[in-house]
Amino acid sequence: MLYWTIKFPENLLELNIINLLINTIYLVFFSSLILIIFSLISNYGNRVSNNKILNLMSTLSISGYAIPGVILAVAFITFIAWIDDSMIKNLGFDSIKKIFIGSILGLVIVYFVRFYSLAFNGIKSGYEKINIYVDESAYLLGYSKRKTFMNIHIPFLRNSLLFVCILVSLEIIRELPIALILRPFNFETFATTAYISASEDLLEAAAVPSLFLILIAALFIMITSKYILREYDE
Amino acid sequence: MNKNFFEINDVTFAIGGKDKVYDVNIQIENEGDIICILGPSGIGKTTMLRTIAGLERINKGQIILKDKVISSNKIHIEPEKRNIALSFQENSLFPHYTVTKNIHLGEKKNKTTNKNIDSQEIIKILNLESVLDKYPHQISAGESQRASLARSLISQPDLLLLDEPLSNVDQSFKEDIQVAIKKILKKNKISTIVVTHDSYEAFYLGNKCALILDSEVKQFDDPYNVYHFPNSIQVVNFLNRGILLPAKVTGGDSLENDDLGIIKGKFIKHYPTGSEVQLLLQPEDLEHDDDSNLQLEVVDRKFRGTNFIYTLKTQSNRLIPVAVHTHHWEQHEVNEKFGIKRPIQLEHIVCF
Repeated sequence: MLYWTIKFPENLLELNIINLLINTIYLVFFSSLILIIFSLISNYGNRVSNNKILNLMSTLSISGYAIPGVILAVAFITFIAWIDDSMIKNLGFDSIKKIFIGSILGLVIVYFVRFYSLAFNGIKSGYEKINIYVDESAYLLGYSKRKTFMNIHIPFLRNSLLFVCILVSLEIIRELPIALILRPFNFETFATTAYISASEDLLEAAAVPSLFLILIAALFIMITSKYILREYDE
Repeated sequence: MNKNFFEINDVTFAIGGKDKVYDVNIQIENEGDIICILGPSGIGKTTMLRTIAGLERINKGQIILKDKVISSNKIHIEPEKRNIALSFQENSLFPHYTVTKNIHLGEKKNKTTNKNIDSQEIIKILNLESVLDKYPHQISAGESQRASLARSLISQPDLLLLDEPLSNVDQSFKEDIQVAIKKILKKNKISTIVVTHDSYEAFYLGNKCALILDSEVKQFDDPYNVYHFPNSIQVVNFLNRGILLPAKVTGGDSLENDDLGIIKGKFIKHYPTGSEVQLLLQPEDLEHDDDSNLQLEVVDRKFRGTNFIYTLKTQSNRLIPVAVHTHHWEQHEVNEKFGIKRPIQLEHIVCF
């Protein structure tokens, strides 16, 4: 890929790298943020309440990772279309298809279903390192539940959150089927650009976005390695 | 009517919907008193502490601290509002803080207290100076337990709850810490409930001891009475500091055992002459006498520092413990004969 990039520099110049980078970061940022917030809340809820129904819901919600992206994307479109036809239009409201299909929101929702398992389990494994007696000690030292969450859980989970963030970002950056089906018109990422070029047999053109994908992934892996080595050394 | 500093009135302690200890009535009469809870593993001692701390709820009875109901079937004051500290048996230090920061978090809790606990003194007493800059995962279980204890003490609570506070502490260090902790608690009038399985620890620390057996408080009394005047066979068996021998009451101050003969002493409880009873015989009850005509066979000898505990076999194959001062120069080996001083005169006679 490096060879093709150097040999055909016009591919590099023709590609709107800034735009692709912004699109990719935009998608990764919002998807990761929502995934982490929801995973953190559900993990905290499970820890504090230890409610069986909540536990069951968490278990069911992580099954999205087992479903292929294409099926999830098609199921999502079908579901939105059904809601739109059977309920929204009957109630006299405007169609919601445009809001969810072919929009960033739709992409983020399906990414959420697909990668919730990664985020949930990543944070769960971080939480499992915090003994429940730590929470109880905090309460007995006068900490409220909110203060315990903010002052004890979050600082301790910092590394887990960073790790989950990187893991989810890596998955989203290289994810293809969902992006291809649900992305807005003219919205391209490095992965979709590489795929389109490759599907047209333009392997040299596909080399540039692929190289960027590898560079971004390498950067994330470097951060991850640094985080693992740095753990508790501060 | 005298008001108690702390009261547990008719409370049934439960965890996970399962009742553990029924109808408990325990009081701390004066601020600064120490209560020890003794009982076998899994009986519900920790559940009791957790409930008092507010980590578990109750459905029956009430818990009162300083004239205020803190737990009942209707009232439940949250743990963070109780000013009760609980030092867990397990590691409960905040994993992302150093030991020193963990300990000093206790100081923040109660700034308005009139108690005057010096954190540096506590750190020194608990021998934590060398681990202050370490993280909880870098220290031993014993150090972690001591750090947790320091944090609880420094928080200067109205009521301190200690769950097996020294279970992971080295034996050599344990007694020194016990002495130091008791001194601090008494000096600062910190009322404390200690859960322990070590009866010696309970007898040393506690103004009173509560024995939890068969899901209920079997005896709640001062340590001397618990040891010398156990109120049930279960308490005797749990303390394991003596044996029960069959005997027949022969008068107002005497009874007779087939192996030991006539035993005299003051009955704690009246039994009619001719009653068949179980006599409690503790190691310090019988005296050794090499010249006695009552000679029993030695089957075991335990060295306990200040004394030896000889286990003697009677003619009817019962095993009797007898304590002898360590400085008794003529030691008896296993299978040798061991004389018991006659007539046998006991300080008090406890029978069941």
